[in-house]
Amino acid sequence: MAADEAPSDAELVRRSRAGDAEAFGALVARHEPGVRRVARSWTPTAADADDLAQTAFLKAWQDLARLEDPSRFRPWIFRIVLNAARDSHRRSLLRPFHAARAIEGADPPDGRDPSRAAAAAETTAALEAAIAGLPEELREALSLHVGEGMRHAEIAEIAGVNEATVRWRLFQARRILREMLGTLLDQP
Amino acid sequence: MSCPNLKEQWTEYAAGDLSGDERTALDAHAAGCEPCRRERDACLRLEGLLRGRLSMPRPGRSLSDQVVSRLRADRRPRLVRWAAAMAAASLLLSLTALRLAERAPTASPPSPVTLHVAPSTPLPPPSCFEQVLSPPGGRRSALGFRMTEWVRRPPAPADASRVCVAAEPAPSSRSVSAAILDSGSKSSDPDRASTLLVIALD
Ligand SMILES: [Zn+2]
Repeated sequence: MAADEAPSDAELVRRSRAGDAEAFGALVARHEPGVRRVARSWTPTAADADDLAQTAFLKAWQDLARLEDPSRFRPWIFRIVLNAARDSHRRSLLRPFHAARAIEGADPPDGRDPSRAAAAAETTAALEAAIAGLPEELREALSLHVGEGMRHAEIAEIAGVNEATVRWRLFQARRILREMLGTLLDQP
Repeated sequence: MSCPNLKEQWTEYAAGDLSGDERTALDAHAAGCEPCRRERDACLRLEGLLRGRLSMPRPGRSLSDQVVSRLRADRRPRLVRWAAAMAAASLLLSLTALRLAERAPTASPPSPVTLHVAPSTPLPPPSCFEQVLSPPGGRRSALGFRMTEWVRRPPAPADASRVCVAAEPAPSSRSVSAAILDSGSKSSDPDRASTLLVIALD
């Protein structure tokens, strides 16, 4: 391998299995942006999402021997974080979505115009509530596709379904959100 | 073309799932059809909002160092680990306090601040607020959320803020969350607000 070439996931997995924590750190650094974003679609705050992502990486380290194909680390870590998100959600360790807390991440309101601030707040809150209200498998497909730019085949691998099902889930997710947001999507 | 059947196609159009020819045909139709133009624009807006929400960059410190040091810490004795966790927690608390303290004196652009209101906080607002009754019962948003406005009585101090509160009862408890959206003052405390705008997600 050339010195300036980044090691592959498979290579890093092999080194991690041998106990090389630095190699695992490199895997974390490579995949954490996506893992944190996907976690964020399950949690009310970015800090909760980061806790979830960290839990997922620690579990991956423990279970590394179970990863059959070391080159498939990416779909595997996404599966782990999504399972962790579902578990936490069901055990209510994470509070259910609070649309209000999502506003935390919104753009600051424009000047002193209360009606514009209220309209922006309402759209943000409504989008958050609508995404949170999607069936889990639709939300999962949407966050992997829109957020991570994953192709249908990779989402299918993560979700354990075929590509046609992924296509259907993405379409349904968008139709439901369109219906739920209604006239809020009209141009101002 | 029959427009009701096009609704689903505009979803695919905005998602980028159509071929060039299909897009061209739909655009040609929309040029002469106002409802379809509106539907197209709404679907495109949804797509933009989704991208903003789901693919937002994750700034901040990398998790990588934290994870690696956790892996190393796992080899240390349990008590030491626990002490380290306690130290980390108290550091986090002081950082949060510092951030809030830094925010207080600045008058220029207010950052949204999140408050977690104690479970006992009454909702609708406490009796020191009076609902603006126009229209009676508040107005309904497009999604059916109730939006009500409350002003403090007697008139609030000059530095009081207008506070936008989105309220959503959690199923497991009576807690609500509140977000300060427009606190153009020293205070980001609803107790000192002149006006409360309550969006009830019921
Ligand atoms: Zn039409």
